[in-house]
Amino acid sequence: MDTYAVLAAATDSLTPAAAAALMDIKSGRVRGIIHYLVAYEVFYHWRRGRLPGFAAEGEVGEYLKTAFASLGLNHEVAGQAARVKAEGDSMLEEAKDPSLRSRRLSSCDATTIALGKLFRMPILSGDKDLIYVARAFDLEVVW
Amino acid sequence: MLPKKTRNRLRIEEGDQLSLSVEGKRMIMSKVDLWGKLMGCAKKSYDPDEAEVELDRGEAP
Repeated sequence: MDTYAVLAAATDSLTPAAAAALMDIKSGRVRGIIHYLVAYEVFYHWRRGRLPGFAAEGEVGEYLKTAFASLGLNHEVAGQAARVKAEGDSMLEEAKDPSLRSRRLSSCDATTIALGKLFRMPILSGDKDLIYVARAFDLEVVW
Repeated sequence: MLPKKTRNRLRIEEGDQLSLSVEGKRMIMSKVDLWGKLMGCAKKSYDPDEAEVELDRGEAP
């Protein structure tokens, strides 16, 4: 799961498919997986006041810890993420949609796609650049 | 297993977390609704797309 889904849940802008996927994660029917950089971004957005429902940093951490499993990062993931970033940014530069051409993958996006590739997992995200590159790598994106 | 009547009254749903605390000789079970704290907490107050781009730009060389 990508950071975007958390922000969309907070702003009430989930699509019906994304809302259903999040409810499946909440109920335990589906295992939601994040990684270190998604947690970092969620903490960052909380610090920027974008997740006001959480009163303290500890609540953010508790939410992430109890709602999702966390995958560790290693050199294999880093290598795959670097490849995704290099190839993905080139794809974005040449995208038919002009609004995508100026966008670039963050380290978090590249890592999410790399993990999706390594473990053949679908990605829950509405982030346009992430979706564009993930689909180019034949990954399923739920949104 | 909590009785259905109690679950309905406290709106406890599948996947909700519960906490247990002790006060004197009483044991208190409370609903910890961290999902509820997230969902809609910043309703329409910003565009998630712009927030994402802010972090992407922060990494740009």
